[in-house]
Order: sequence, then structure tokens, then C-alpha cells
Amino acid sequence: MSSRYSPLERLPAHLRNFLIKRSEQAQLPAFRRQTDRFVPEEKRFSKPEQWKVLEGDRVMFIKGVNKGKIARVLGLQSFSNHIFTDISETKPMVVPKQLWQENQDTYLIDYPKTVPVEDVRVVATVAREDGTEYDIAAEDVVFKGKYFDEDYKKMMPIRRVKYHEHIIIPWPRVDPVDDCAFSTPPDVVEERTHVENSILTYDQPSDFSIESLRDPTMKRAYKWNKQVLKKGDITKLTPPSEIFSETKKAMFEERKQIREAQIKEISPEVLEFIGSRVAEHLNNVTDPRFKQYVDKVSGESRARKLEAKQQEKQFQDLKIKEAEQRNKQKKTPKH
Amino acid sequence: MSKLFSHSAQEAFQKLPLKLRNFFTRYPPAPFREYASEQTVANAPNANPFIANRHPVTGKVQNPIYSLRRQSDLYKLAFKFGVADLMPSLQHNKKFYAEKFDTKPLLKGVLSPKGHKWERTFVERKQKIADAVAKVDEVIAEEKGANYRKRPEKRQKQTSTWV
Repeated sequence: MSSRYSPLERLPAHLRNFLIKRSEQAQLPAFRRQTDRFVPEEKRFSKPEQWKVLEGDRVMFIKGVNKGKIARVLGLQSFSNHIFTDISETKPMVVPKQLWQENQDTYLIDYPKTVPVEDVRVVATVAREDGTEYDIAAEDVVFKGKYFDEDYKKMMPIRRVKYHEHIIIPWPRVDPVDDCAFSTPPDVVEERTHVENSILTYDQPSDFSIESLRDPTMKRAYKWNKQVLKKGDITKLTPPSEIFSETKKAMFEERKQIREAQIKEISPEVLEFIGSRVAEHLNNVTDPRFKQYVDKVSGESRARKLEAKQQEKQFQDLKIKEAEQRNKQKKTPKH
Repeated sequence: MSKLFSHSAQEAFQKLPLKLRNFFTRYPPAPFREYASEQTVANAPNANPFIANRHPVTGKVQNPIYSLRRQSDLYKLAFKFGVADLMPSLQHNKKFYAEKFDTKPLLKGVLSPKGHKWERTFVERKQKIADAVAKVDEVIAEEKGANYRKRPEKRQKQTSTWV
């Protein structure tokens, strides 16, 4: 069995739930798991885009007894996709004496309950143009663009308020991590120490064989002891003699000639000749429906629409840029 | 009714749909370039883009540059703008609209309908009857004898000459 999966996760969902329920029932109520939600490993959040909030963010509750209150995120509980907050409900929990904290004199403590990420909204501070600030709770956030964050030391997505994408909610600041003895200095990280000379030959010792990498105790060793090469193997092992045949090259040449011979610009005489014929026909038109048809198929209205759309987009981009500038100026660490 | 357009040649050309403008750019019409109405070599100067031509080297027949559907689309667009006659001829001299019905060859059945048997033999039978009626006196005389032979002469005399 692969070590990638715990035995529980390999079971079908109904059997897994049954076993979890059984084990819960055997426990004292105080020892039971806080949440019934079992999140399999592949569904656990790993990226900031999935969490939407990180440690240090301010959030507003939209459910439960604390509905409407604003709290700060203290941490992420990765196995349940829940978050810890500084304002939260508590439940009694029994702690063995070995794990007692300082000044603890009872087995029973109030342990904070976690909250699912769906039950909170991110709170952000937005600056008005006159400099005053106000808070907003974003119903949902979207991620557009990326930047390198010095504190997180990685590329982070830019968090924006959905449908108001010019409002950027900056990620909370974290304490910078100190380098330990085994850390690689930043200037050494990007240094290239090995360059390959060819993609066809490997830089490996002459006595190296691929068999040496394989497990000597494997069960189906015969799989690799192929004595006979099949037709497909020979095809794979034989390098191609030439990429394009002479016929193909001749075809490319011919295509090129055809492309070059093609007329790309209309000559003024031809334009005048055809245009006069069309004008003669159109200038006798009296049907307003036909005029409507001509206006539509000639592509003028489409061009006009496209131009308007382009202008709108430029205006929107400008607005976003200005807002980004404003956010950058007003960005102050709140921690 | 008042006229709705008053365009110069330049403006009118821009009123054509882009599809048609591109076509006329690539394939200028008749006085500037002639197009074959039959299959030619594909790279011939008068190769018709609407007809399946042969490859100059391999001799294989290539599909026309414009498929039958695209040919039809282009032709019908050109017809609406009054420039259908500037297009190269289509395969088998295909025509559209009124022209198609005017140049349509009449069917054999329309030219000479077969008809029923009584229709086909009508004239012949009538002729046969007329011939028989003309010879009826001789036939009767032959059957009835010498007395009867004088009867046509008597009848001749009996005809009234007065009015």
C-alpha cells in the first residue's frame, strides 16, 4: 500500500463515515473531535486562492452567535479547512496533565471552536480620495494578477473585491522568517552549477546503468529483462533520418510561392471599377429594409461597437490603475 | 420613394461586406483578369478559384479554393450588391435565381411528352377512319353487286343545283 494515503482515505465514503462515527461513539464526549467534517487530503486547501484569508486578516462573521462581529484570524486548521479567530465560541475539552499549560489547575479547559472559511467575509480598509478611511466586508474575493511578496518570500495572487476589482485587499503582513544554519543565501540560490552539453547524451559515468537505479528485490524483474525488441520498440529507439521529406519541403516552397503571389492590396482601378458598379446599384435603392441590411453587413456598426468597447476598457483600466496607486500609498501594516 | 444612398465609387466599395471585399481584392474581375470556365492547372494565371483544378506536378485534382457553400454565399452576396456578373464562372456554369431558370435546359419529357396510347395513335387512327370513309362506296358496291354501283352516280344527279 502506498504511503501517500492513510488507510482511512482509501475506503469508500460510506464505510469511512461509518468507521469515524463508530470511533467517535467510543470516546468520551469531551474527547470527541470538534468537527464532524472529514476533509480528504486531496481536498484540503493549500493555496492562498483557496483559503481566501490568511493569518492576520480581519474577518466578519456571517453566521452563528458572533454574526456581525469583526475578528482577526489567528491561524488556519489545514486538516478541516477551518480557521481560528480571536473571537470565537468555545467548548469544554479534557487535557491530560502532561499537556497542561502554566497556571492551569483543572483538566477541563475551554477550547476555541474553529469556523469554516465560507462563514466569514474579509474586512478591508479602503481610502477615499480625500484621505479618510472606511471599512468594507467583501462578499467575495477574486484573484487577478500576481506579485512577489517580500515578507512571504513568494509570488502571491492579488486579492480583489469581486465586481469591484479596483479595490485591492492587501495580504496581512507576517513576521519575517529568520534564516537558519541550513538556509541557502539568496545570492547563491540562483547560481547555476551544472550545464548540460547535449540533450542526446547524458553526463553520467560510463559504468552507470539504469538497472542500478531499480529495486533489486522487486517482484517482476523480468519486466526489464527484455530479450527481444518488438517493432514498436525499434521505432522508438531509431532516430528519425530527416524531419521533413523532400516532398514536404517542395510543398512548403509551393505554399510559400502561392502566399507570395496572392494579391493583398486592391488596386485603385479595380476599386473604382467595382465601386462604381456598386454605387450604381445602391444609389437606386428605395427600400429602407435593404439599407438597414447594407449597414449591418458592411461592418460599420460592428466597428463602431468595437471602438466604444475599447474606450470603455481603457477607461476601466485607468480607474483600476488609479485605485491601485491609492491603495499603495495608504497601505499600512495592521497587525 | 426617395433614394436612400448617394455614394461615390470609393464609399460604395466600403459598403460591401468584408467577405466580398476580400474576394475581389484577391480575384480582380473580368477586364483586369480572365478566369477559365474549365478545369486548368492550379498555378495557371487564369485558374478559376471556384473550380477543382489539377496540381501542376502530381496531376492530382485539388478541391476548389472556395467550397461550394462559400461560392454560393459569395455569389448571393454579390447579387444583392449588383456585382454578380463580375464573379468568375462557377463549376458547370452554375447559375442562380432568375438566370438559373432562364438558362435551364428543358427536360425531355417537357419537350416531347409521352402521353397515353390513345393520344399517341390519335392522328393515325383518325386518318385511317377518314381513308376508310372515303373508300366506303367502292367497298359497299363490291359487296352488294352491280346495281348498287350506279348509286353514287344517281346521287350525283340528285344533288340540287338551285338554292
